[in-house]
Amino acid sequence: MEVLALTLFLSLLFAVLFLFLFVRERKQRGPGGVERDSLIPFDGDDDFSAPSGHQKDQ
Amino acid sequence: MNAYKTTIEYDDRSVRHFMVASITWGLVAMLAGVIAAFQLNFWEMNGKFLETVTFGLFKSEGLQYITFGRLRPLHTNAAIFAFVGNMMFAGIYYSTQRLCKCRTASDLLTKIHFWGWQAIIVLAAITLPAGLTRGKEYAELIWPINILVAVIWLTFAVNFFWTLRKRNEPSLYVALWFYIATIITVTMLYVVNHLSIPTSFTHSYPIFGGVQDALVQWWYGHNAVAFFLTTPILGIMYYFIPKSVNRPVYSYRLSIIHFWSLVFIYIWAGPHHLLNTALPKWLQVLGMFFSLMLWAPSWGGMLNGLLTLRGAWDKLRTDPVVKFLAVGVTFYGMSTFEGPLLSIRAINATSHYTDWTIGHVHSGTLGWNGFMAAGMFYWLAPRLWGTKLWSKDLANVHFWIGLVGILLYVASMWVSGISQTLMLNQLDESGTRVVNEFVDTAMAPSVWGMMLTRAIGGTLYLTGFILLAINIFKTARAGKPVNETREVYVERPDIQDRMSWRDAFRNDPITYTGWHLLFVILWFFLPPGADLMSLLGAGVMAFLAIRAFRRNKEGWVGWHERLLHNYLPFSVFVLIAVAIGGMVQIIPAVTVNRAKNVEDRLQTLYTPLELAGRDIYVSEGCYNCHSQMVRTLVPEVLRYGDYSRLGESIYDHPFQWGSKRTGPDLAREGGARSNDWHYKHLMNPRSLQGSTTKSRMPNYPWLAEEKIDFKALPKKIAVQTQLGVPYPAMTRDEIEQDAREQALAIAATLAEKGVEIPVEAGSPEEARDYLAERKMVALISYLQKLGAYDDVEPGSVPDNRPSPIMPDIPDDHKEQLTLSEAE
Repeated sequence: MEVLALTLFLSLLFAVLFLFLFVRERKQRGPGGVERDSLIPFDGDDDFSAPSGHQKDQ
Repeated sequence: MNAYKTTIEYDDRSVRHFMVASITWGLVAMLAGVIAAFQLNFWEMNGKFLETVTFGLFKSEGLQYITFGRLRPLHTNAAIFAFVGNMMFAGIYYSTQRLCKCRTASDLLTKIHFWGWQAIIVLAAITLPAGLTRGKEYAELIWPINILVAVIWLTFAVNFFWTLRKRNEPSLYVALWFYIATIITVTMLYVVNHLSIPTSFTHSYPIFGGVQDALVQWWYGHNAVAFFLTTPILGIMYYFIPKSVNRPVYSYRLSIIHFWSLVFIYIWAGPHHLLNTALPKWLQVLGMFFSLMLWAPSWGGMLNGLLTLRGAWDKLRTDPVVKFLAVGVTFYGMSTFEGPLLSIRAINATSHYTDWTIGHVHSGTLGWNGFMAAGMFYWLAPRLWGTKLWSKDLANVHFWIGLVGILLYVASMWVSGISQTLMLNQLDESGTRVVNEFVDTAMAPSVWGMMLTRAIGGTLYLTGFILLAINIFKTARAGKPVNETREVYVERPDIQDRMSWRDAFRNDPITYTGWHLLFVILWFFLPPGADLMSLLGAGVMAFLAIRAFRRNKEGWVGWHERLLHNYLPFSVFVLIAVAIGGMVQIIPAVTVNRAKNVEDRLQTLYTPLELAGRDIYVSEGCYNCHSQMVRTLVPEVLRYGDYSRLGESIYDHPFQWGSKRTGPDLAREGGARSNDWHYKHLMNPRSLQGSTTKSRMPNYPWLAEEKIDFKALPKKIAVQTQLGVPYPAMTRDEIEQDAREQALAIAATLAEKGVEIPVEAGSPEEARDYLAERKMVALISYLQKLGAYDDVEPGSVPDNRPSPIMPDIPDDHKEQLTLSEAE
C-alpha cells in the first residue's frame, strides 16, 4: 500500500507540475522570436494565412 | 542586409526516383515479412510449399535461400534500409531544398547517391539469401558492401551539407536539425559496429567479441531505430504535417527541447536490449533509466506533431494524407510509450525473447514509419506529377486495411508474447521444475493462433500497400513529371554561418551544461561517498544554470538562435551530444582486459572444426530463432541450466546472445544430446520422437551435401588470434589436420548409428568418409561445444592474455617463434 501511495503521490506531483508549466508557457507565448522560424516551410506559399498568434516572416 | 528575389527550379526528379524505389522495395520487404510470418506457423513455408505450388515439378524438403534464418535478415534490411531509407531520402531531398530555398548542391552526387543505394539493396538481396552474413542484426551485410554503404552515405552527407552551405534561408528549420542528427549519428554508429577483419572477400569477424560485441551491437541496433527510423521521420513530420494542414508547428520552442533531449538521451538506451543477461549491471541500470527518460522527449515530439493539427482536425474526415500522418504520429507516441515500459528490467523479464518485442518493433515500423511514408507519398504524388491523386477513396481503403492490419499484428503479439512467457515460467508443485516443453508453448493455441493472426494482419498491411502502389502509379500515369519552379525572397543577413568557434563554445549554456554532465557522469563511476558528492555537484550546477538563465535570458536564447544560423557549430554540438552516451558506455567496456572480466568461468576455445561449424551456424541465421544466453532468472535456470557468465562468450566474434526465441536457448546445448540426434534433427526435426514432432524448424538437407571449407580455416584462426583469441601456435597443416580428424571422429559416430545420407554408401566406412567432409558434421561439433568452459578463480587469469583490439602476435610470427623455441 505504501508503494501505491507513493506512486499516486509522485504521479500527481508530475501532473500538477506539467499543468503549471503548461499554463505558464501558454501565458508567456507571444508572436515573434524563435516561433517565427516555424513559418519557414510556408515562405512563398500563396494559400497560406497565418493563424492568430503568428506573424508571417516576410 | 541584402535582399532580393530569385527563381529556383527544384530537383524533384530525384524525389520521384527515391519515392518509387521506396514503394517498390517496400512491397518486397513486406512480402518477405509475410512469408517469414507464415513460416513460423507452417514449417513447409521454408521451401516445401514450392512442391505444392508447382504441382510437384519442384522437389524440395527445404530451400536454403528462403529459410527463416536467411529470410528474416532480408526482411529487416529491406524494411529499414530499402523501404524507410528511400522514403527518408525522398522526404529529405524534397524538404531540404524548400527549407534552404535552393536546389540540391550537386545533381551528380544525388544521382550517385540514388543509384549507389539501389545497388547496395540489390547486393543485399543477393548475399543475404545466399547465407553471406556478419551475423549481427541489421548489420548483416558483408564487409565489401559495408564499404559501399559508407561511401554512398558520405556522398549523401556531402551533398546535404553542401546544400546547407549554399542555402538562401538564414535559419535552419527544425526538420533540418533532425536530418543533421541522422547523418552524423548513423555515420558514427555504422562505422563502429562494422569494424571487422576480413578472412575472405565474403567473410569477416567483427573486432569486438562477447559482451563487448553485444554492447556495441545494441548501441548500434537500438540507435538504428533511433537515428534511421525515428529522427529523419521526425524531420519529415515537422515539415509535412504543417504543410498538409497549412499551419505552423504547434510550438517551435518545444521542438528545440524535443530535439536536443532526444538526440542526447536516445544514444544511452542500447543496453535495454541486454537486460537480465551477463551484461554488467551498471550498464543495464543505465540503459533502463535513460530509456525511461526517453518518454519525455518522445511524447513532447508526438504532442507537437498532433497539436499542429489544432483547428484542422476536420481534415481527418476528408483528407487521407492527414489521416495517415495523424495516425503515424499517434503510433510514434504509442511505441515510444511501450519502449520505455519494456525497458524496465522486471517487465523485460517477461517481454524479452518473445513476440511482444516483435509487436513493439512493428508498431514502430508499420504504424509510425509506414503510415508516415504513406501520408507523405499521397501528399507528394500530386505535386510531383502535377495532377490530382488518382483515387482518394482507394487511399481511404488503404488507410483502413492498413490500420486493421497493424492492430491485429500488434495486439496478437502482445497476447502471444505474454502467454508464452507465462507458460514457460510455469513450475510444478514442488516449485523446482518447469512444466512445459518449449515447443509445446510455441504450439499452444494462444501462441500459435496469435502468430497466425499476426501473419493475417501483415497480409492486410501488405494489401493496403499494394493499393498505395496502384494509386501512385495511376496518379503518375494521369499526370506528367513536374519540377517545381518557384520565385523566392532571399535574405542574406551577415550573421549567417559567421559564428566563431569561440562564440560557439565559450558561453554560459555550454559551460553550465558541460559541468553538469561531467558531475552526472562522475556520479556513475566514482566510489560510494564521492558519487554522492558528484550528484550534489550536478544539482548545484543545475541550480546555477537556472539562475544564470533567468538573469540573462536574451543571451542564452540569442546564442541558440545564432547556432541555428550556423550549421557547422550546430553539427559539432550534435556530434558531441550523441557521442557522450556511447563513449561512457562503450569505452570502459572495451578497454578493460577481457580475460580479467570473466566472473568465474572462461570459455573453452573452439577447435578449428567447431569454429567452422560456428560460421555455418551464423551463416544459416540460427541466431534469429535461438539465443545463447541463460538469463539471471529462476525459470530460465530451471529450464536451461546455470545462468550464463560473461566469460562464457568472451571469445565469440560475433556474439550470439540472440534477441528472440522462436526455439529454445542453446547456451547449454553441448553434450545434452547425441551426434545422431542432432543429425536427424537438422535433416528433419519432425522425424524424431517426442515434442520435436511439433517443431517449426526448417529442414536443412543441404548441410549433408555441401562440403566444409577446410582451406579457409587457417586464415580464420589467424584473424581470431589477431582479435585476441588465445589460440596456441599452429601451422596451416596442423589446423586442417586437426579439423579433419575431429570431423572423422564425429562422422564415425554417425555412420555407426546408420544415419541416412544423400548418397548410396556401400559400407559404414564409406558413409563415414562421406560425412566427414560435410557441413553437417562441423555444425554438430559446434553445437556439442556450446556451454563448454573452464573454471577460473576471478582475477586469477594471467594478465598476458591480449586485450580486445590489441593484435596478438600474428600467426606467421608465431610459427617462427615456435621454431626458434624448438631450436
